[in-house]
Amino acid sequence: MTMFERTSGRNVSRGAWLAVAAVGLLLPLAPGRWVECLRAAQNTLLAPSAAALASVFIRSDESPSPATVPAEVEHLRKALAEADTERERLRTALIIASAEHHEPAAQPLLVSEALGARVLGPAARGYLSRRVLVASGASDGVLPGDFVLEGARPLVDQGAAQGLAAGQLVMAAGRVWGRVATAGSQTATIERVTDVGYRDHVQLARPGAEHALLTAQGVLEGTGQGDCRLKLVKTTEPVAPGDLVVSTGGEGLLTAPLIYGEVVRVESRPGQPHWDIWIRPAARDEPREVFVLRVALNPARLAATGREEVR
Amino acid sequence: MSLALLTILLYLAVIAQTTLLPMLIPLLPQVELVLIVGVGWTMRHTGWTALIGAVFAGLVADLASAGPLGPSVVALALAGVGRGRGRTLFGAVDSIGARSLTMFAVASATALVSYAAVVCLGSEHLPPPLALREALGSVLTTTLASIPLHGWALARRGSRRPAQTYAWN
Repeated sequence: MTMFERTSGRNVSRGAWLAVAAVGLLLPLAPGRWVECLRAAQNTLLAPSAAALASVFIRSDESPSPATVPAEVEHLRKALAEADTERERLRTALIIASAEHHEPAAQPLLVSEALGARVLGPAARGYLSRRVLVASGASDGVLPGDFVLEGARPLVDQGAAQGLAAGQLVMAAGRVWGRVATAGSQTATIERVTDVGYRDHVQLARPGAEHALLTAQGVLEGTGQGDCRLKLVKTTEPVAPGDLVVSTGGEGLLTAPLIYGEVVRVESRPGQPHWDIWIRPAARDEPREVFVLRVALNPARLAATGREEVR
Repeated sequence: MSLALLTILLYLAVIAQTTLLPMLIPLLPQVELVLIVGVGWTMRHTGWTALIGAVFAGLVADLASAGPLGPSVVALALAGVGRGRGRTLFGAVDSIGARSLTMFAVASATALVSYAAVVCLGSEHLPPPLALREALGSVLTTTLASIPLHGWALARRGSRRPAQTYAWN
């Protein structure tokens, strides 16, 4: 025995250590509810010290710690959080109840239309840039502004003349593939969801037996690689791999949410208030044909309004 | 008394690991201070005190993380298996090299067991999976951070070393 060791009681056999290791291997099978209770107890024990440290190291103009916030403001924040939770619960209950009863909805004012468009490959792009613009040119009434050929973004064969405009969502195989970045008269470029700079307000949905349960909202960002990131989802919100990511932009226009992709990885960095979430886009392949969602006034609604006025 | 000291050390380690270090050095992979304390405890003690301390430190480390419960307990227990009198898995207990290698082995085993648990049991039953790349970064930073701490502990103990007397016949 060296001078650094402190013996205590009888020596422990290797079998005891192995038994502990074996028990440790079984611990991941412990019920999640128990583990969460233990985690909550430990966090409760550590919270005052963590808050005190945070108040020391975080400047007051960035994010005030709970210890420095007046009691009334803290009370209002808690009430607001509870109200948010209740609103989400009621919203989900409303969605489920509406779906179960199949109540006939009133005629919506706005409807969405899907306009089909072909994605132009390199040969088509070359033809447009060389033969049409250069060979034909203005003599055939073709203007450079009719086509948007710059950049490496995908190009589709529909443009502003067909009702395309920047910002419209582009679907591939029923999934969000991107949105219109620039619309020329006859063609348009597409910004894919994985492109750097792509951002959209999205919501998480947990697949259920019959209906998806809508949960937290956040901002989806393209990374320039194969996956996307989901930002600004608080760690107090439930998130798990397998959750769906849907667009919130279709609220009031679509009867079903548009699916962006699926959560593949979630991490919580210590001390950070938001989850780190990685999304795998549902529309991953390079499609040949896409659909651009356009918004238009509902002709049935307008016709009904016209009949009432005639009466 | 000694377990009370361990409790205080683990409390400070968790606070520093989860709050202080991410604020001071946000880009550095997570340093598992709780594991360092656990390894240091099993290096310093033997018998049931070491065993109970290892289990306690392992549980605290796992509860402080977002991963599954159990990997740190397994890793610290495996380190204890090779812990004979005056020996560790990798050499003499008063060797900083042996302690550092033990630390590396414990941190690696924790990451591997955690990843295996997530893969085997699926994500529905467990918190988010650990990324192997970040786990490797955490293993390296934890090992590197443990070296000066182990050195300090050894130096501190060495300074208290009583004067040796030799009998010359």
